[in-house]
Amino acid sequence: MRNLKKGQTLGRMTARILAAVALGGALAACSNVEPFDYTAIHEIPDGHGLFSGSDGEFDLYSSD
Amino acid sequence: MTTQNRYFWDARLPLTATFPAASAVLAILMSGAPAMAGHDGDGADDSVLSGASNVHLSLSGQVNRGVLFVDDGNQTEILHVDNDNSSTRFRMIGSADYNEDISIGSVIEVQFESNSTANINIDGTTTGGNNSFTERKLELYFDHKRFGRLWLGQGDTASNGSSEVDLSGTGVIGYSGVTDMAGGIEFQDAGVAGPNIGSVLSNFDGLSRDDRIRYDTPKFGGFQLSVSQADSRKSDVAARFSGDIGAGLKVAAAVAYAVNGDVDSQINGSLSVRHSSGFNVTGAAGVRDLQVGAVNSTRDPFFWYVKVGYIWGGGIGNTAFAIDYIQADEVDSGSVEDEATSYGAFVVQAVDKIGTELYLGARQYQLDRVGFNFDDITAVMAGARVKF
Repeated sequence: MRNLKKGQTLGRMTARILAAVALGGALAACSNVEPFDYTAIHEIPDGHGLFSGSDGEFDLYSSD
Repeated sequence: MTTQNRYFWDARLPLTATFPAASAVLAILMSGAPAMAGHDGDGADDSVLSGASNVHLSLSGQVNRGVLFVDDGNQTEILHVDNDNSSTRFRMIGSADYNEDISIGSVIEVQFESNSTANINIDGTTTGGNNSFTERKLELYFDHKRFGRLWLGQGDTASNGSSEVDLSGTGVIGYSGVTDMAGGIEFQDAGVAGPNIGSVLSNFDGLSRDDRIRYDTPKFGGFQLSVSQADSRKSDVAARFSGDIGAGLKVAAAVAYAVNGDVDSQINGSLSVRHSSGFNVTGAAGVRDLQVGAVNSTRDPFFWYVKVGYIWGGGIGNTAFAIDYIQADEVDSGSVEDEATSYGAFVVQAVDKIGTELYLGARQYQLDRVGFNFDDITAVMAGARVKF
């Protein structure tokens, strides 16, 4: 009984995730989505650095 | 090399005096430089030079340290830790344009966690031996504006991060990877140690980082597809979305499918929505299908996670609040009917001007296992992440 409930719950959860992504896709197709770059939780965040300032990184070398 | 090039060496900040590690890194870089001079008092230009054009090389990093209080029901302890939610590290990113469409780049990123929250136990010893440099990313890529990017080396697999999409602004102290806060702490049953938190809770976050080959499509309307193949016949595919969809809503989402060793297949994903008012909600879920022959293969591992938060913008930087809850069942191969849960509350104060986040978070961990009566574990951590 427990496994049956769990399986049902799993199915619903997975379906919701897929539905959400599909909804996102539909929204992207039907509206003016403005993409942004998402920075993952583990990564060094964007923005100001204590020593590097507004660039957030030390420019060791740039040919620009 | 022409004189219009900009050089780190010419910056007013004496970085090499501030960071001995940076000195070592730069010494290595300089050893391979085509040309080199310096402001060493001899009157010559001391800049690091390159014979190539359209190239860029940068150094960045962070220090993330905290104080962790834990109570496992048998004893309490205060531990001084490196926050594994986003570990102490530095990285170098290089890129060069081959032509208008094609660029080539490399990433070297290593971490150094002294007392990682993911491994340290209540006695203050680490099980993972992380008190040394460990690899995060050692990779290169070939990028084409229309055809996408091909990665080679140690780095994110396609599915890594797919359970961890989070726009709450509190990820540095609390997110779906709940074991990162106190993963090495063991549950106690009448003073006898049982499994640790890290073995019974999981967010099934894809295949993590690995030595792999990976391909990312270009982004289409905020969408991107990725696929990778790693050692030991591990492979995965993922779809991601991040975009402002109007009505003040920012949305980020990911869903992934992976095959790995004892896992026949794994499906997981996450979704985070943030309104311009500051309110946000995040959810994640995943399920594993174990191979016949895996340890306790009758298990049916799964998890689900939800977080609700609010971001107040103003003052010295955003202030983010959130609460969350996770349930993960039958994750540990040592038991077939585990039910592990955790709930937490978090606050993060950003101080934008100095690239710093101050955080405070608390978590309660619970484990129900047939035949045992484990005490709940409480963990409270305060600390700071300083991006340098």
